Amino acid sequence: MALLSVEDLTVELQTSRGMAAAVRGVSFELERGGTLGIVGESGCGKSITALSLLGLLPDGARATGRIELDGTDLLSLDEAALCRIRGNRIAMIFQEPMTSLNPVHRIGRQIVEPLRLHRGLRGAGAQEEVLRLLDRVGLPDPARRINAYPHQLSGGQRQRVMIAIALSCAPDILLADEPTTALDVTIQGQILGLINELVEDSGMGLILISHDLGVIGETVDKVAVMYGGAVVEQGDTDNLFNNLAHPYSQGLFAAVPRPGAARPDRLQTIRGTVPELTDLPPACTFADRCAMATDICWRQVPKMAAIGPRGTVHQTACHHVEGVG
Amino acid sequence: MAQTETVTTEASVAATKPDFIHRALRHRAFMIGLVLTGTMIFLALLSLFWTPHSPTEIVISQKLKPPSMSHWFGTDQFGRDILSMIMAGAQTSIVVGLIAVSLGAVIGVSLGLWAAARRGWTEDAIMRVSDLNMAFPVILIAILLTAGWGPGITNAILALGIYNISVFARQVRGAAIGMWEREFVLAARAAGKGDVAITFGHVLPNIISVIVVQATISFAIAILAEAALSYLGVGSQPPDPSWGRMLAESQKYIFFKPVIAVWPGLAIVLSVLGLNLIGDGLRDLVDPRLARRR
Amino acid sequence: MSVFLARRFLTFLITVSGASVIIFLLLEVLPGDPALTMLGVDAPDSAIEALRLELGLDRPAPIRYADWIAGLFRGEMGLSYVYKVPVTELIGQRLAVTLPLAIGAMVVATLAALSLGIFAATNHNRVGDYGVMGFSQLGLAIPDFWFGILLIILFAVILRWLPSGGFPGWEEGIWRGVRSLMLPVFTLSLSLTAIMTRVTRSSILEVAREDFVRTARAKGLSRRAALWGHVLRNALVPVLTIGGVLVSAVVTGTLVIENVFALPGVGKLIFDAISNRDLMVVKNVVLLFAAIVVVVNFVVDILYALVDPRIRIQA
Repeated sequence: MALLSVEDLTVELQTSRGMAAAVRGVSFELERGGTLGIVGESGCGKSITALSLLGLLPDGARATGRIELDGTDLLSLDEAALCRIRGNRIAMIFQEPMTSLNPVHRIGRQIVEPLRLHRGLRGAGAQEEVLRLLDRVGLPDPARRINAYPHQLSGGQRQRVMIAIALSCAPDILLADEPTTALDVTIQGQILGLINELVEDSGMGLILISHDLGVIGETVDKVAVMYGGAVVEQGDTDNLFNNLAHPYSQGLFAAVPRPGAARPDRLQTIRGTVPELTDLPPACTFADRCAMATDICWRQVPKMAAIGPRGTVHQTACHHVEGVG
Repeated sequence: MAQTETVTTEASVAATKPDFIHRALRHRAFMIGLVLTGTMIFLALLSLFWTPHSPTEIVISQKLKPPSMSHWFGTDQFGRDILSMIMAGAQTSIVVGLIAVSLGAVIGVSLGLWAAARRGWTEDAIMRVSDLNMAFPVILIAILLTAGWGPGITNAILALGIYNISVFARQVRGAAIGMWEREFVLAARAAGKGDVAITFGHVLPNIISVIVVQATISFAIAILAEAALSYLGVGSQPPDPSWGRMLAESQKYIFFKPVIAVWPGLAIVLSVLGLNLIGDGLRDLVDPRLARRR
Repeated sequence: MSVFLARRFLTFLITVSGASVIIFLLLEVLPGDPALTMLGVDAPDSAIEALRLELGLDRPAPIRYADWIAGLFRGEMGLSYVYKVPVTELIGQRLAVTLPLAIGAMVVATLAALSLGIFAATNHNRVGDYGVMGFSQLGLAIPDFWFGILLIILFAVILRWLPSGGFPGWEEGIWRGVRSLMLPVFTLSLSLTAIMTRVTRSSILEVAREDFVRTARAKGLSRRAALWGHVLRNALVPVLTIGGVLVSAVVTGTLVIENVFALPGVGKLIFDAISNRDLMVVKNVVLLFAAIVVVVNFVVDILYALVDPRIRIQA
């Protein structure tokens, strides 16, 4: 059985124009120690998907479907039970290291919190563990940094602190939501390297959320491409990258400049812009921007179907891609 | 914040006029405010032509009468009709508020715009003077004026006006500095427009809503302050009708006729409440993003 | 931090000196002859001349101003023209009423506003929230002196639980003094509570949306733990700001409330001084009040720096 299994997850958010579905029927699985990348533009529902795994949706949001962690449906748990899972079995790091740490508390205190909460560590024992964690995430001079305030650290250092917090209780799953987007390019590589290394060493599962295909390609075994709240294509990373099936995935990848590409002089874009949640087409959410769209795309929600050679894992949801028998 | 970006983008849709009126009509607190304030203004205007009785006519035989058909709110210690006095008192409140707020707004807005346009030592100078002004709450200014020149309603007006100058100057400076950093102002600057042209062509029109909201709230504060000053005897003087002085006089009869202390107070509360509701409502309506976040 | 302190202190000095100049100009220079102001136009010329000599008004204004300030540094404020006692002594006696009133109101308002603000924020968009907001909207619109009158009607006239005004003096016993101050303190705290409640509530709601609160929740902290451990201290900065502004409201509020309840405090002193045209008292008391307002704002600036470590660096 998979460690984490998300089935038909739908999340509706409150907007000024009523409820709008931000996540529509998303399903995926994560094996123990597996790595999954979720890729898509901002507003495609990837962050909401991650937050719903932690039960930290914005006020007034409604989630349906199933999110099973080791067979327990997280959506059916009460708040107290979720608190025992958050930071303990599922930990998360966020996009903005500049704002994700409490500005008025010292670094040490912020790392101690989950240790005290989930592992009952206090005093000298907790202190020692904080030093070990800071050392583990490669923060130089941990003994001094433990008393620093967040504004005294650089963006990369703060993200290392965030990782130390996430790592503190040896979680089963690490959720990383655009962990490197806000960082300088050189720092991005270091942080990504660190995450990779930690995942390998500790055997925890990783769900990496990014709009950056390069980051995804380097880091994870499996990829899910999201658009308009739905997963439009998913599969093993290599398979998927080599045989892009869904028109949206093709457009997304064509929009990335590649030095060795055949036509480096002309960068492709996807026509139109990402519509508001409430304005998404009713069936296939990509229908209004898709060059291949026909009547059926406006009438019927496309189902996930396997494609590609036998023995490979690769699925897409598009009326215009032939499934393979 | 990633989790809300899909939700907040639609707030950028600018408020268009028919939409504004439509939303205003549905904004309950704002409409209540309009009705309350409208009533106050109507009563003040009406009292210019007609009041049930003369607000200044003394009829000793009718003193301290309870509410009746001919005197809806009863009479005071001189037999004057309380309802008529309240209607006429609204005039005083409105006149003091209007003059004081206009005085503060005209000078304060100019100073604020000037400070934002010039920055540097001009701004420093204006803000230090404004600091100094803040050291003198309205009542202290009124006390100084009264001690120096004797009592009078002019003291209340001047004290409020002077105080409002720094209130408006601070508010406008803050908002205007924000505007000066916006792209369209930078563009106008790049196109070679001068400080004055940018201030009146781009900055001022975009902060009008801030000024209007502040004016509404300052008006409410002015009504409260006028009442307090008149209550203390450093505001309007007899025989001018004033809610504050009515309360001061009613207190002498508090053990026999406590009810006469109720009416002028209610008039103040409803007027101030009305203006505050309008101010809060306007703030919601001109900034839909803020409105939803509340 | 020391540079920060020095700069704030300089601003403070400039503001207070500016205030003293303005007071002097408004009371003793611009209206004309202070002796005439004090005695009135009907007074005989000989009396005015005598007072002029007594107060040293025959000397030029800058000298008189310098004298006043020099006196302040020696702790002297001159003699009250009416009571013939040192103004410092008068103020000292009256502060025994005014200070407990002001501090009591501030304490009551802060406690009430923090509780109500937290309650409203944690019940955001529910009945409790609407109730608190409605109360604060009303609290903003009610003139404090009228609220005082209503309290007198209820507790002194109808229920007869508490005195309608006056103050027996602390020497008559702590309890009797406290009893006399209960209604005034409660009256003065109403509008303060209303304003601070609104600020506390919106500040908490604002901070609760911050990324670091989400981080705290992602660590496994409950809503309540995140509120107490992460939201409140950050939410305190705007509350402090408004608290500083409100101190000037408290100071002027005591002026009004002491007159409502006939309390022999500094506020009563100044209004008596106005009717008696006792310029010496008016001049010094107004400066004292202005200085208090400025000092408090100075202190609030320092408190910020203590609450928010980032400000220490920036300044």
